[in-house]
Amino acid sequence: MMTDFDFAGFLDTDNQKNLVISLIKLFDSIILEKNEEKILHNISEVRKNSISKDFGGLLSALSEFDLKDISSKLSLLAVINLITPNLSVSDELSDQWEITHSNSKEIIRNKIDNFSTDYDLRYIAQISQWSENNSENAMIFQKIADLVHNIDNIEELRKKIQSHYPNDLNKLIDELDSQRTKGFVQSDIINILDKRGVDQKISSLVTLEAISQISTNQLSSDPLLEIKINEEAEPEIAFEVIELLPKIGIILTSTAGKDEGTFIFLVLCNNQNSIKMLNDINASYKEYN
Amino acid sequence: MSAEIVTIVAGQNLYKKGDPPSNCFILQKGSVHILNESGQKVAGVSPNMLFGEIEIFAGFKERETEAVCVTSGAAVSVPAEVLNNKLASLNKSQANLLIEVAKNAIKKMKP
Repeated sequence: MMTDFDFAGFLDTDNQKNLVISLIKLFDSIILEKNEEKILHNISEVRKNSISKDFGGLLSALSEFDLKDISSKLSLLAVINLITPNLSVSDELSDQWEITHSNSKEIIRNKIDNFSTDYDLRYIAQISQWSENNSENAMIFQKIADLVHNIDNIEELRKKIQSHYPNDLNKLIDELDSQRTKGFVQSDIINILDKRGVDQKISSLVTLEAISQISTNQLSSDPLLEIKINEEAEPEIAFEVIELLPKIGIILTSTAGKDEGTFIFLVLCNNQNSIKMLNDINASYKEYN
Repeated sequence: MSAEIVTIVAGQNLYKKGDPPSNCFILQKGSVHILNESGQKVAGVSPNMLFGEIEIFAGFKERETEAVCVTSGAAVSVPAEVLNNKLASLNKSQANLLIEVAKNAIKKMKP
């Protein structure tokens, strides 16, 4: 249980910067597969920063880290990925980021050439998340990792990833998704949404939890909307839409839009009145069949 | 129980009036408005500022204000227990002063 908290350490942007630098060094030493002594030294540097003690998830991942255990590596990389970009630093640390991004890109290529398990793909996903400005490719690697058990020919998959990475991985996931609809548990749901005109990139993001209270009949016939908000261009409307969403129906999924600052929500509405409520606030949406 | 980074999205409510004041926050990135019960903005929060602490210091069981994210970013969420421990570590006159300041701040935020 937390008994103290380093408020001063958090409000000091130089201190947060030092933690970012330590985390970058640690991330680099893990993915560059430096020797154990170097990694342990970098772990110790992270622990020395007073505010690292305030992050239970980080402390736990550091404690459980074991160089021979890929799961523990993944946990630590994921926590570093979560914390580092969200620390508030006193300058941009461009040099440090440039070096680690350059290292990361080289390692991703190398790992793609050599992956054999879903863990390897999740490892690539963490490095991809670290090195790219958006997390789209990281999500795709995670998704491929989910699917890899159902893929017989890993070499063929490798060639496809090599030819699609980094700019066209979406096309690859479209292809894998089309295979997934034939055999996966969620195929019924994807088919229903497909018949209503929902793009598979969105329908494949719908979780079983989101539809747990919805009947197939409702999914087929209730008003179905893709609602788009732009928090940069229309922050007030975005705010009103988010306030309204829980009242008008069930959010099946949400995802970042193509343009910066945009988000898309797939919403199964309660009734036509939901659409009227959206019109009243000039929300941007499209209605599916 | 520990601090955690929470990502915030424009329009999101970090807390609403009537919620138990179980956390305070240090804004890392983005911007947040504090609104009173009439929806009037009573404070703007920028990165590296603490917010959501006054109801905890005042010993209130419910939030008197609402915190709305204006732009997306991130915040560190700190459990109320941490502030209560800080308060308990002060001497009685310091603690009373802080409690009174917090109560006055809440009064001033009323419509």
